Amino acid sequence: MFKRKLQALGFPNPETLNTADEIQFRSTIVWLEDQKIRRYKIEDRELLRNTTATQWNQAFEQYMSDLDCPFPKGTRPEILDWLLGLAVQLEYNEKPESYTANPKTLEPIHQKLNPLDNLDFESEDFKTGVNDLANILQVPKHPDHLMTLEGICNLIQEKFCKDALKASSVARDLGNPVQFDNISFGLDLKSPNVSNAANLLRYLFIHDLRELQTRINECLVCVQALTANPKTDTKLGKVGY
Amino acid sequence: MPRSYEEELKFIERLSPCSWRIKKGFVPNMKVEGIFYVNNNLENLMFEELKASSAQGLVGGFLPGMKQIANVAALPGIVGRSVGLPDVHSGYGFAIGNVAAFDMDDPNSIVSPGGVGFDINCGVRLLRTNLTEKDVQPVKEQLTQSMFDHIPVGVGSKGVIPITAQDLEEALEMGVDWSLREGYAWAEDKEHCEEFGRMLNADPSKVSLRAKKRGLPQLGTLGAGNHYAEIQVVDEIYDKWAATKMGIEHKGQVCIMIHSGSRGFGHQVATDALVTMERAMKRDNIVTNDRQLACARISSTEGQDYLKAMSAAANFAWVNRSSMTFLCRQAFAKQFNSTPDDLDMHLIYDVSHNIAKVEQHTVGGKLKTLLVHRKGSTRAFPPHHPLIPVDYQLTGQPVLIGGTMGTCSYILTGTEKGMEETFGSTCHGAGRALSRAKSRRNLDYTEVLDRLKEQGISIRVASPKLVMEEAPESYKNVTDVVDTCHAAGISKKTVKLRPIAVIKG
Repeated sequence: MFKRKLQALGFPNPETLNTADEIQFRSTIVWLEDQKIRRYKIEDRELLRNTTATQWNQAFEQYMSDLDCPFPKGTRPEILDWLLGLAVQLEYNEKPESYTANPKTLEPIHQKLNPLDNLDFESEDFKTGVNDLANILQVPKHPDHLMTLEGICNLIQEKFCKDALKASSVARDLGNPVQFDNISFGLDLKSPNVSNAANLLRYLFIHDLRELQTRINECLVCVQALTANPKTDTKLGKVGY
Repeated sequence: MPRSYEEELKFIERLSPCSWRIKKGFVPNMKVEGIFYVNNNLENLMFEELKASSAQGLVGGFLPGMKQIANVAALPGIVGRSVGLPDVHSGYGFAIGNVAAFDMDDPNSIVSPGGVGFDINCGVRLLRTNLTEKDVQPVKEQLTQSMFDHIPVGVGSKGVIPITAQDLEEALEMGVDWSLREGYAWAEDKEHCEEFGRMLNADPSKVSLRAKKRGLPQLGTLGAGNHYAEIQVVDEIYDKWAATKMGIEHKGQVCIMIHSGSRGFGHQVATDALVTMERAMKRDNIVTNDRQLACARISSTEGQDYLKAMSAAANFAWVNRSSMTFLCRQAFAKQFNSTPDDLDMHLIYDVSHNIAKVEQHTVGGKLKTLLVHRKGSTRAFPPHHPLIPVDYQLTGQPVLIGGTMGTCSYILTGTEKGMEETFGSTCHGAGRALSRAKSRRNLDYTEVLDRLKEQGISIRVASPKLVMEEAPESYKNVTDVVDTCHAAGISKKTVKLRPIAVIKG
């Protein structure tokens, strides 16, 4: 029952381990402490290593309490399972990156190749660049130049990316312009300027919400491609009276 | 000693040209006041009903609507007012067209199956198309026949969608999500359903085997009674901008309305609950003015079990309407040799008008969590409410009002005033004026059918001998009902539709 965990830990003979056998059980515990858990210093492991001694059980109980085992009264297979879990956890924590599907070690190389990563975003040079770009694109400036840059990015993504350029070259149905004055935005603000700004924000929020809903729908359609199989059987149908 | 009609009238007071107050004392133990909305024409019906019952001395049969509204106002935990909408008429316990909200934080608050109705989550959905009346007129008869062939109607009808007991369990839990997964619904359909077409607290294990057995063959069937599927055309647009938001562009545009519910399944869930609740009432010493107002504390096992089973029935109804939507789309696609996509057969909205839901409302300036019972009443949330779809954030929730056979239907939108006065609720249809038995006695079915033919309406009915029950004469005038809601400001008229083809049970 412990095969997979034992294999993962590189235990010498995971197939044949018999925990009911006292000798095998004791030596497995010693192997785990020596190789994986290493709770005690090497010189403090003597009592546990002496698997033939009569006091071994005492030493084992002490070991479990030192490890804060939540089931000190558990059966041997239960305790062993917990110990193996702990060992696997410790093993993983040593080098978590080596277990991820895309080892992170590859990424830094990429980053070095990307010249943007070496930019100093706070340099005067960079700030003027952002300002110039904002002037060209007529993006209103925010005191924080990074915020301005975000605005510029949005604009470019929405208006100047390949798809957007393609879409704008095709004559589009302009639809009906939104009659802002006729819509109740549910906000009762005295100042017309603040009210306009709040209404606009509300409108943009609804726009974002629509975007989100569209993506949810796309997601559902993707799943449908896997699950949907509508059937009808006219033989089952029966008109009542 | 029963009061005379004149004495009764002392408890009724006009609040505005189209609303009346029912004062405490009209029936014993009223915890809150009642209010009902009627215009001059509907007002007479309400008062005549009261007059007739005072003359009889209150024995047997249904109580008049006003008494029922007042009896609901005497239920434990009720807050605000017991609201009667313009289409209000006598029902089982609660009047049909009655809205009542109970405070979830009050341990005495109750849930009542009579406040939801037997056809749990009966509702209306409207599909739009990009066809015009001109496109449909030449093939109207074939199209009506095709719809009739696709959607089984009538009592005892069985659906054409193969479904196993396991499928049913999943459908009860998932609602429209089941239809989506199986490919009967579009992703956009879910977006335009109340509650996104799924009550999350549904628990099929709280539903009796008997209910499941009744429900299994009935998925995708229209049923009988006042249920129907109609091909309608846009007759009038009152609010151009809101109509545009729903994809309704011009007069003559063809739409499809489906009015159906949870069939025998919901009926069985309600019946089962009434039995268990009678016991719970005795145990918890819950006293009501009317035996039909069987109820249980929301927090009790019986109350919770009912809410979970009711939600499962609500999910059944959504799957049912989704299945019929699928069949309608197929019928249209076949007839016009096109695809539902190309015919732009999008769901405008799907409303529930027999349901109880947990919602937040402001009562007396305080935000409260309430269990809102809407029986024969449609939720009508105002613009900017977080629970309505993004497309309707600026217009308010679309409210679909199905008229009577051969008359007209309306789309309204929710308003802020409705949120304040009626827990965001409005009318649901025409509302019965004559009982079913009375209509059968007074009207002749061939006349009713001939009249529809004269109006150029194609009709397919499973049981023609019952159509007089649903004849316009048996109902209040839907235009009066809708105009009252509009005048009272609890919802706003947006579009009027008239039928060109009807299929019915």
